Amino acid sequence: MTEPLLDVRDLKVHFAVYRGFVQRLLGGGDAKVHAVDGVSLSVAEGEVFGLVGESGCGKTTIAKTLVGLVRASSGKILFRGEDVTHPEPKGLFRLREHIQLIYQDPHAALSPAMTVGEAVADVLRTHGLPTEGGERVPAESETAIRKAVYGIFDDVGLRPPSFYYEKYPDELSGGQKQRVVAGRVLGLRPQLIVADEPVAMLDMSVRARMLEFLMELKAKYHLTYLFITHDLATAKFMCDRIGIMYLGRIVEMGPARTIYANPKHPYTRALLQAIPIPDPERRSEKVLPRGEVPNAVWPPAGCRFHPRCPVALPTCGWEGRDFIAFLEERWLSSDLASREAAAGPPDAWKANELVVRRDVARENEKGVEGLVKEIVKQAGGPMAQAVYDIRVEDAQPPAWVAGISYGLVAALLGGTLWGLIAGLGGYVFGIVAVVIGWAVAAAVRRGAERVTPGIVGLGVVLTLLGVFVGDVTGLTIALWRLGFDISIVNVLAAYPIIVAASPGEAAIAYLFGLLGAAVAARRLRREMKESRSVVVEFLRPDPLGPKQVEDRTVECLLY
Amino acid sequence: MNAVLELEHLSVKYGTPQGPVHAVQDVDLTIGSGSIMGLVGESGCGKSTLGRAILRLLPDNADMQGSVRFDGRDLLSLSAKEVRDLRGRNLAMIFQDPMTRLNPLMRIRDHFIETIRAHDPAVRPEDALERAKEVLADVRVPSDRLGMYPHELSGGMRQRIMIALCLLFKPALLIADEPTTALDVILEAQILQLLQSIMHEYDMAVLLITHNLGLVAEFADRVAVMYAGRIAEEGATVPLFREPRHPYTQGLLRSVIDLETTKLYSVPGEPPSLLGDSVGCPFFPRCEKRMAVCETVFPEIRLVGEDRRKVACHLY
Repeated sequence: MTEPLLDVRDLKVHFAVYRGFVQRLLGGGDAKVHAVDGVSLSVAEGEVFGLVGESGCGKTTIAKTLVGLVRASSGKILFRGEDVTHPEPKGLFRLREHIQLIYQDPHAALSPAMTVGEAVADVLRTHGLPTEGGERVPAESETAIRKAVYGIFDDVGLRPPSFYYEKYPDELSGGQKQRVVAGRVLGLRPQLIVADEPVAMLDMSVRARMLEFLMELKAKYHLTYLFITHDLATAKFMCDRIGIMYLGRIVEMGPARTIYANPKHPYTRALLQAIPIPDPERRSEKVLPRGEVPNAVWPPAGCRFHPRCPVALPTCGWEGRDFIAFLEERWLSSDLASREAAAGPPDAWKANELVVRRDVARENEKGVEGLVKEIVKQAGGPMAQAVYDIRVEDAQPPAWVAGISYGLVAALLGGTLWGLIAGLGGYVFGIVAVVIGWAVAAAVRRGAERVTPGIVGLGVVLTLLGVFVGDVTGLTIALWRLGFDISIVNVLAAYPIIVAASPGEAAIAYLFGLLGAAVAARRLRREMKESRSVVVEFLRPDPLGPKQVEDRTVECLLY
Repeated sequence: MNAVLELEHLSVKYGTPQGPVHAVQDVDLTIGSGSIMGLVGESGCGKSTLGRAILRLLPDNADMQGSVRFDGRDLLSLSAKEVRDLRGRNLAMIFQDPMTRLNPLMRIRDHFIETIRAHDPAVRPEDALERAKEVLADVRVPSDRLGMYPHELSGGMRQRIMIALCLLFKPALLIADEPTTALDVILEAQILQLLQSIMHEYDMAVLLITHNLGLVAEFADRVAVMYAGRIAEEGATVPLFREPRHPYTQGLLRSVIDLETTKLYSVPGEPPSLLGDSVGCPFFPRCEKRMAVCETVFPEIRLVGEDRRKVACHLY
């Protein structure tokens, strides 16, 4: 078997989510948009491969990664057997002569400040003119370039070329602009053209012309297309093979004809069913998947389509989040919502992967547990079958409790230790005590996984600020409102230490510390009244990967 | 069935430095209560302008002639204040891009409270919120979204909230201008299904403005095809699709690419410029069935066939 023109192996493209400055300093967890999350496909020379999916599925990201506009996070891209995953600048320049991109919006793809003739000429000036042998030679003169552009415009149907050379993009129609873009691309004689929704922005009555045009170009220049679209009807007409994408993964891939005739993956079926047919005599009752495409930052567990799938199994990946979504939908009916209020509202439930829990008061625990069991029984369906256990446990203490303990201990220990070492140079050890206490408490309070240098740095800066301003207590109160609960305790403990000059004053400092701890303990006791929680635990889902089924690959536990 | 909206000889002319642009010319249209009228056409045909003209949402350089009869009154003869009172109450509109239609600085609940109190200043915020929760349940949006900002919600949810804002006062007519163009095909089907169920519950008529013929075939009771600012053909959906009469409608239906397309077809040429006065049929340069008379004489609308189809074509 000949080597494929393009071979993509387990490609992943993740984008970091940037949270606010303070949150980042506190290390609030790394969130990533899993735009492309393990995609493998290969395109043979001369074929039209369709990448089909709704917005947000990752297909445009793949297009951009292939031409080097976006950096792959992991995986491999092979072009003619050569690894082009991370081309360095010179390699990228050459690569662009082999892989090119046609954009969805032809108007945005052309500079409004240049005539379209100039736009194409610019490319030829930079990359040189193509020769018969496939080499590229620098243009000898402006006349040679203009002649080449005229040739290209003639090829793409913009005749007479001399007329169109001087036009600006806003003087042309959508179809004409798209032809200019195609011409600009063809100037480089690429082998692979990635066409990202090339006709989506054109009117229906001209779409056919553009598609025919693309097929003519393909025949004339021996092109290979990676055709990206959300329009299944166009893909069916144009493509030899297709891959259906959902939330960063390919769920079904194979010959276009058989997939359309006999779609296997439930998402493919849903897409095909949802397309409105321009024939009113064939209206039918559509069974649509529930809900919308979820967030690519936290994709569903197991099969990403399972929360919406009409034929999901209990092993498809049900988890805590699905339970909360189920409750939300169930309680859209105000009747049920008021009757089952003891188990609600939905945001009283906290999900952590396969487990979801709701805190309850000790006297209510049996009632709520029974109610939840009844709700799950009534729900039925694969999610209910995936519930492994419903029980009552001791509640987990809120995060800030840990913060108090750590912070207080750190502050007092740190202060004492440093005081012993540094004697009565209280200034410095006070700072150290406060910094350690703040850092640890704030980190835990914010749910950080570790204390980052940023946290410690923030503590130092704030302490110094406070000391110089002479009003650490005021600053503390301000910080407290930001959530640094424990800092009041810390500083009440450390403030006197900072200015202490005698053991007596240090004793007063520790008294303040104890006072602060007492306040915190009272608050803790109040919160711990709700000291139990009802827990719903789900079965571990079956592992999932693409499987060869007849003439295609499908990623679904049904097969 | 009584008519909820009647357009008679409606024209919209924009004054521009280059001359008058006839965006809409001499349109007659009737929408029956509780029905869906699909208004189809490609970009630049005037369908969006028509939708906005009904609600008097056009810029100052738009000159409107004719009449727009709603609930026994001609909307074009009302004062701005009277129109503002009707708009959002008895007549509502949803637009194409739900992303840009909600105020990014306001929480969802404030959108509802503001809308309700704009029409009824006497309503208390708590009561407005109760009404908001009712309509949100109708569009299947959980009420906890009320506390969120628009950017925290998905596109489909934003469009549902737009629809909910329209339903607050139980309008008799909802104008939907490309409501699903920016949404994916599954979401599109969901929103249209939602609109259908709401229509029954609220006894509301819908004017669905779109370029998507499939949508119109699936959901509309009647279809009006617009070209170059005029109605080319109008009639009940099933007979119109089964046997389109106007050459433009025929060309349009042939060029739709659906799952059964085996051969591509596109209508030759480009739509005409709407600048300045024109004579004859606007489709003349592109029409496969054109005749000499079509170049100089504009075809008036005739009623053709058993289903009393309105067609503006000299062939009939």
